[in-house]
Amino acid sequence: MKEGEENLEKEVKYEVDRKVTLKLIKRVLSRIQGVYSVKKDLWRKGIRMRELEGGLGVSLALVVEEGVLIPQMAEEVQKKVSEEVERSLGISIARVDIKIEGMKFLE
Amino acid sequence: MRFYQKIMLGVGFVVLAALCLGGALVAVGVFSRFVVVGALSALEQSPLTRLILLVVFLFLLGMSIYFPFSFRGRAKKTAVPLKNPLGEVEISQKAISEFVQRIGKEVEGVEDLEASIESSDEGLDVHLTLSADPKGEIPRLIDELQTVVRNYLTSTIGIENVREIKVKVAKIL
Repeated sequence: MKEGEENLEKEVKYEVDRKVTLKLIKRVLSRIQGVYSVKKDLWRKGIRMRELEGGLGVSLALVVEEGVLIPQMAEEVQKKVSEEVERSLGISIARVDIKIEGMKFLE
Repeated sequence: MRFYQKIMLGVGFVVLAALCLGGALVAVGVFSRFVVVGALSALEQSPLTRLILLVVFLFLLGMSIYFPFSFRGRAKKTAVPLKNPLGEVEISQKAISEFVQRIGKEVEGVEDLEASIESSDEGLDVHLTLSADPKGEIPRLIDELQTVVRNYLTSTIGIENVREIKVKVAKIL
């Protein structure tokens, strides 16, 4: 068997359901300190995904905890979501957009 | 929205409501459509009323053309973008207002605080309205409040371009 054919046989094609990606992102977010919840309402989903040229584009609407340093937290969210989705599911992430929709004040 | 725009919008809504109400009353048969036609015919009799009608309808026509264009392109931003290389990060103005209100109330002498945010390409403007404790010196209190809010917006939220923090003391308790 030629080398090229062997490589083709080894290549595994698979699809990942959006729900799985969604669940993984939720799990990653729940582990990040400072993220209180994902904000969703009647008209808008809290986590949105769209196919982009360089991979998957993720948009997150978040509620954060009081006192959190937002730039650092946002960067952590972006890094961890990208890393985890790429590592666990093999899906490349083109960008992670974040919108902070609210703050949770801890009494 | 400017004052004259509010007036114009108000007039537009009143006219629209009157037309809707009139149409509904004719539809349910409360009064005949001939009453409406008759009233309009009666108005046609006098040149003065015809002129007034012409002015009113031209005004309404002008308004219907002016309004969609006047609001286009200058809609205020509802979120403030933060710099980030990995994607877009925005924070809603509502969240910033909540944040500012919370932090501002921690300044001694500030009893009640309302915050509103305006964001544009030039930067972020913060408007604060507060009730103050008479024991505190007002200039010191305002200065402290501005410093606290500015530091908070810059360091915690990460907004680099805070242009202005306006403070209005509405009440002394």
